[in-house]
Amino acid sequence: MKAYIISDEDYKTEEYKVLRQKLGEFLAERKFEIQETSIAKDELHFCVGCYGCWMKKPGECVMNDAMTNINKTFNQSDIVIYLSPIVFGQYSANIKKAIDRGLPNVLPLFVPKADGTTGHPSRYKTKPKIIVIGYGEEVSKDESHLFQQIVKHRLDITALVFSKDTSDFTKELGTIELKRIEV
Amino acid sequence: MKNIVLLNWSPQMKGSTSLVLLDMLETFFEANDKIIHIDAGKSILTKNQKNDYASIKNADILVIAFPLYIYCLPASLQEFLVEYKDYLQEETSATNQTIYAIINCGFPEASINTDAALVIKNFSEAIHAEYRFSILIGGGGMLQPMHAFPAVKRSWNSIKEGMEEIVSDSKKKEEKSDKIIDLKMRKKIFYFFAETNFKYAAKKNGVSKKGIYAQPYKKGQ
Repeated sequence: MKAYIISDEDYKTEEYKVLRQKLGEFLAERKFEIQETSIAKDELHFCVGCYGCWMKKPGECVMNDAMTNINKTFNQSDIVIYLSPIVFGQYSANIKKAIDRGLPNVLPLFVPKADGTTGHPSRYKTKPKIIVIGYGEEVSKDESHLFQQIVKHRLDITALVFSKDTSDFTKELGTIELKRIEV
Repeated sequence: MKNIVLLNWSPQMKGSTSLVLLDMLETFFEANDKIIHIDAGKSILTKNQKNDYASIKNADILVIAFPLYIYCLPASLQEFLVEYKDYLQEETSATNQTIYAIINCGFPEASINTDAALVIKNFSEAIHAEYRFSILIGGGGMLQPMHAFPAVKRSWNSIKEGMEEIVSDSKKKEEKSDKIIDLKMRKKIFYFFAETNFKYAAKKNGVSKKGIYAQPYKKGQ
């Protein structure tokens, strides 16, 4: 089983270090093979909304940088874990660059979702289980709620938020089914 | 006279819906208001962020227009706002401005934009500015190409009302909440038009119908 961890190189805070250590131990105990990408500022170009990944080179971003390998590794993994700082209640910019440029992984079709809103279907018949772990030195209840709301718009994704208290981290991860999802 | 900054943060350089919306909003302000447009692409490409931050800092009113990217702010806008906050902390004087947002998403349901508006509210609080409200628009991609379609016309009328509300609120503040403008078109019709548009563009690029469904990173390949 393959686990892919995506983190923000510019926010290696104390909270991050604790969470990363616990996550590594959790995955090692379950015999996951871990691959990891830590994204620094200017390492990835931001999505320019060209839709080339739908209309020119379906399934691939037309900008050739580190994102090509991130999207490839993402799709070859069983689980993908984003370790994202929470900034103004959403992902940090470095993490958001990788998420925005994950657009090739869905199709340019429009379908109703279970909550009544519209979404794009997955490009692949199976996809990795995604877990987004938000962290920060001080995360207010409102910020935590907003972050989870934003993450959960994308179906089948689990959002967890931690600040100084990480005592429940392993327990909460243990409740998640860690395998690819049939679409 | 008020100093107003209209911040267009669509990563698309030309013909963006956000730019069209801000151009329209400009027509509602007073003739003697000083209006500065800041463009995302130009700011990044010319590495002019510091000058743009100075303009924003001096504004009485800041209006941020952007498209929703994966249910929230585009990464580049998030980066710009964080760096602007850092810039303000380096400066000694505090900001004293009013912030509005105009957010459009590609899906017909405008309420999907609500979380992004809350992020703008959090940003406003972080820089000690006053967040007022946002205009949240569904079906943003349809606004220009299908402007004559009845459902889209209705959206444009509501957008104009929302812009008038921004201008009147900037003069006299009253209790306000986000203005939510769904694209009132049958979903099946919306899906048909949206998909046809993408398929037609793909065909023009030499991508076959089957090619649209390509799976270049299928597990095991």
